Order: sequence, then structure tokens, then C-alpha cells
Amino acid sequence: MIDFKNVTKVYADTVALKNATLHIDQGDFVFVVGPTGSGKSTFIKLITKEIEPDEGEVYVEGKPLSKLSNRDVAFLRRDIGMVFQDFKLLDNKTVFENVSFAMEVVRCNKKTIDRQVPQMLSVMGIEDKANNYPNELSAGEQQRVAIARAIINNPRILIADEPTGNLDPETAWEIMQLLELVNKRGTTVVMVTHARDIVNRMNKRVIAIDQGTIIRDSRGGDYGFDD
Amino acid sequence: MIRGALYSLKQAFRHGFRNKGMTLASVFAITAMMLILALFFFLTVNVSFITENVKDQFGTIEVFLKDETTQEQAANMITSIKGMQGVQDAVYISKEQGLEEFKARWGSNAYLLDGLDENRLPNSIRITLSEIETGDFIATTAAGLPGVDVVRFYSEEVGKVIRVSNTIQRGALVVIVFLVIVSLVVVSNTIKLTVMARQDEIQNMRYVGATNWFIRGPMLLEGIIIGCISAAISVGLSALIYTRLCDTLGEQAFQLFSASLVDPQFLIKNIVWIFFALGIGIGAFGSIISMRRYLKS
Repeated sequence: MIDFKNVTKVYADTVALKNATLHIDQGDFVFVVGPTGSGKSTFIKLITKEIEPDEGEVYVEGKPLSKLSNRDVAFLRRDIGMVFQDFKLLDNKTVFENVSFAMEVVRCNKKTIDRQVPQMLSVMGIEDKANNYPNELSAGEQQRVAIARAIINNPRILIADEPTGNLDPETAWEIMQLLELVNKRGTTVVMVTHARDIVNRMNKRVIAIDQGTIIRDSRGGDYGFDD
Repeated sequence: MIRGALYSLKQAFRHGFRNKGMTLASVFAITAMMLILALFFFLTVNVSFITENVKDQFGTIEVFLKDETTQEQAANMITSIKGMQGVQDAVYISKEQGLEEFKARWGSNAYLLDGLDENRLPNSIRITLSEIETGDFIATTAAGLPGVDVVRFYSEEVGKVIRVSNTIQRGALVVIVFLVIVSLVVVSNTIKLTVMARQDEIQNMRYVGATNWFIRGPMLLEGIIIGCISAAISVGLSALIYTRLCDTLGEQAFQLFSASLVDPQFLIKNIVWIFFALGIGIGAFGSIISMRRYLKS
């Protein structure tokens, strides 16, 4: 599903990722943990080809990313849903439009959109917010919209970059249950996080990165850092 | 394909409408530029029109013949004049022909000539010059021929008019080029602001897998629509201005140059395609320039 083969990425003076090799299976749920600046964001950006490795190769669904054209990258991203700490919703669009937007981009017709978006909103428990704007929602609700948008096109991979970073523990846990639900539908989930409680409680595979090196990769592991 | 184009068009209108402020600012900037451009365009066309007129009217030597000179003698003169260097053509103009020309030149004011009871114009020979510099010599020679009454040639005046008009035209050209460059910068900046205001949206589109053309299409169309709207407004306004100008200044221009201003219909017809081409070009080019750096992967 996702493969890193001897991947190295160096920024001006810091090594963000050093000779990383790993494999993530279809349907896996993986936490990527590590202190700030350890290379977690680099890890994610390499998967979506926002940046390219200096050495080595990243494969997604068997395809080497370095061989993809701009157009291929657009299609790659349709297979990858993204959720962020700051939600990245469009403030001038309603909840419905924020989600339907993702479907318009992949050229779905209006009938499909009108059928699927309300369904998705109700799975996320925000069906009554369809016509509200993001700034009228709580942080937890906004993140639900973001998840709805990320998975509306049934991507094979969901990447979550500190999705609970701006949420109180209770809301964070609700969001985690949604992500677990998404994972149960067969989507591979890769989640970068600082939240020790969540990692320990979820009991999933944990990849720990420190100073660009993968220092631990264990199934059913815990957070394991003292930060 | 058609659905894609329709989507782009719909998005372009929707965005243009949602960002009313920016759209208006762009339309305003392009329209203002086009109006100034129109004024210079009108100036250049009229100046060159008048100059051509002056050249036609005064770039020739009129040799007026004595009444007793016969057509035969005139024909001989024409043959010898045609032999001179710098002469392109020489033709005999009878007094009747002369009056007709007079009437044609005065256009709508020709009725003033109807009051003449007798045609007092002399017969004449009109010499067309191939080069205006030799005119003085030919005029003097012609004046010496027997049977010639008066020779009329305005060499200095014609030269002055040509020099002035050349200067005006060159100046106007520089201003026009300058204006186009300035407006391109202004427009691409305006659109850059629009793009920046929409950066989140573009980023979002990229995350959900929009292709570059999917993002670019609506913006390109938006630029083109803005250009077309500006062109339409400019054509309307400048047509109005020019028609007014002809109404109020036409008389004076006629008295000054004994030639009317260029026909508004003719000018406006040209302005339409020039402005629309310019508007579409500026709109499309402006949005492409400003989008480029946001669309690298």
C-alpha cells in the first residue's frame, strides 16, 4: 500500500528523514509519533508528493511517486483523504458545499452529490449543520466536516495530521472513534499525533520517529516518548 | 469535455460575483486604461486622416491656365510636365470638374456653392508629385510656361503639417505601448490579489485531487469575462465620447483643416474588435501570469 525504500530527505541544514524503509498494509491503522521537528510532517508530505525525496523512493499502491506527472499526482490525491489539525475548511462555503466541493473536483454529477453528501454528514453526526458555515460550528464539528470531506470520495488512504490537536480530550476521543470507523470500512489510516493518551488507548501500530530516524515500529505499541 | 467547460463557466461567474470588489476593481482598471487608449487611438487616426487629406489637397501643384489657353496647348504642356523628374502624374481639370471637386470636398456644406450664378473657376492642370522635395523646382518651371496664369504650391505648409503629424503619431504610439504594459501589470496584480484571496481554496482543491486545469479553467474564464465586460463598457463609453466630439468639434475641425473628422461608425467598428481582443488578451494573460506560481505541484 505505502512503501518507503531507503528514503532520505534533507532540508537546508537538517535531516528530516534518514534512510527510512517501511511498509504499511492496506487497511492498517498506523500512528506516527515523535517530538516536534522529528520529521513526521515530512513523512506525510512525501506520501502525497507535496515534496520529493532526495534519495530513495516512495511507492503508493505500487506506483513509484517519482515517476508521476502533475496530472497523475492529482489523481493520486483522489485516493488519499487528508485531515488537518486546523481543519482547513473554506469559510465562505457551507458545510454541505465544503463536502460537495471535493466531489465536484472529481467530476461527480449533481444527483450523486445530493444523495451522498447528506448520507456522509449523517454518518459524521452533523446532518443538521448542512447549511451552517464553518465559523458557526464547534471545533469538533468542524473536524467532522473535514473528515466527511476527506472520505466522501472513498479514498484508499486517510492521512490525519494531528487531527485532535485543537480538540478537548472528550471531543478528540469522538473523532478517534470516527477514524476507527473509517478504518473499519477498509481505508488505511495514517495518523500523525502528539496525543499520548490516544495512542496508548487505541492500541494500534506505532511508528516512532526521532531526528529523521525511525527508532521504533511496533504493533499494539504505546507512545513511548517523554515529551 | 462540455461538462468541464460548463463547470468552469459556472464557477467563473460564481467567483466573479462572490468577489464583487475584486471583479469591479479589475473591470474599473481595464476600462480606465482602455478609455485613455481610445482617446489616443482617436487622436492618431484623425491626425493621420487629416494629414493624408492635406497631402492630397496641397501635396499637388495646381497650375491655373489663362482663359485664352486652348485645350491643345494644355495637352502639350502636360506632355512636357510629365517629362520632368519628380512628377508622378499631370491631368487636365476643366472648370466644371473643378467645381464638382469643390462641392465634394465641402461635403454637407456644399449647398453654399449652389448660390454661384457663374462658374468662375479657371481651367487647370493638376500635377501630382512623386516626391514633395522637387515641388519647388517644378512649380517655378511651370510658372514660366506660356499660357499659365498662376501656380499654386504650398510646400512649406505641407512639410510642416507632415512633420507635426509624424511627431504626434510617434508620441501617441509610445503612450499606447506604455498604457498596454501598465494595464497588464495592474490587471495581473489585481488578479494576483484574487488568487491570493483564494489561496486556501486552491490549496484545498489540490488536496482533494483537482487537476491543474480544473483549477485554472474557471480563473482563466473569469479573467476573460472581466476583460470582455471592460471591453464592452469601454466601447460604449468611447463611442459616446467620440460621437459627441464629432458633434461639437466637427465644425471647427472642418474649418481648420477643410476635412471632417473620421466617421464615428468606421472608428467604432474598429474599436470593437481591438478592445475585445485586448480585453480577452489582458484578462487571459493576466490570470495566467498570476496563477502560475500557485500551480506548481
